[in-house]
Amino acid sequence: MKNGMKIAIRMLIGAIIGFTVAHAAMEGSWQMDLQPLAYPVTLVLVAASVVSVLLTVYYYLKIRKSAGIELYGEDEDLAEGRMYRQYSDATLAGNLGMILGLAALSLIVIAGQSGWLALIAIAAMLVSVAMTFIMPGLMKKMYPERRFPSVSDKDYAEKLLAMSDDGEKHVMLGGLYKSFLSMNTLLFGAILLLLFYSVMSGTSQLVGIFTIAAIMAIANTQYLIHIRNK
Amino acid sequence: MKTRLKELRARHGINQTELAKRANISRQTVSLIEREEFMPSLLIAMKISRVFGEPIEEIFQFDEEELR
Repeated sequence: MKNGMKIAIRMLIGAIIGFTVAHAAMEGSWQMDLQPLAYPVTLVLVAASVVSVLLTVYYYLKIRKSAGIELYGEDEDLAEGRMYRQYSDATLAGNLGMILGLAALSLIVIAGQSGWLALIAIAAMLVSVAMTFIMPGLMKKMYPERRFPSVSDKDYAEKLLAMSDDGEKHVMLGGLYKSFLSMNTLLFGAILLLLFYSVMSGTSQLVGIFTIAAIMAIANTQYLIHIRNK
Repeated sequence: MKTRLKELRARHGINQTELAKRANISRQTVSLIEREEFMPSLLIAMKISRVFGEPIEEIFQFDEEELR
């Protein structure tokens, strides 16, 4: 009964969205001027990028401090678990900082905005890139007994995967599989959104649509060929 | 699969980090096995069995249903 209700609500929401979109398309009077939004959106993106990068640095310093403390018994386990989560948070913040910085920089260039915002966005991206090289060094402090490959090694990512044990691979596989499935759905949605935007605003988004379609085709082919040939 | 890992650790007075170091695996893996969220490979099971000096089947126990 509960499931039936959920499906009914979803169908109702879908129908409302579908009707609204179709109605707007038939009217053909839909206009979208994003130019006035460019400056505030850039400010938000740059600020978010800077905050993300600062978070990475903060976690980096925190882990470095914690890694030097000697603990015993359950305290050691709790501290290790905390450091592991902080390392993941730092990596996520660094990646987000880079993505948001790039989005901000793109908007600044396209909308022809002020140079100082571009400088901040570039600085945030550079710090973020530097952190991706510095962070793996922390792993050696966190787990001195393990032999991690050097970041400068050829095939660093493959070597890191190879030295992970089965439990770590199990966790990675779960995360990667989920993100692969959601990435497919989200990119598919992005194509539909760009198509809708192109039709409604009269501004072609074909380059974006073809780029996303190519990324989806390559990623899916790579994944399925990997599975098929095992 | 049920595991006696936590009980054996307590009996030997070692924490997860120490067991991970002795078995040459990650603490994350020890934690996953104890929470019964991950069935260890034969290699990891052997490593753990050596640390405690107990046979694998004494540490990891399966229901009859699972073995069918």
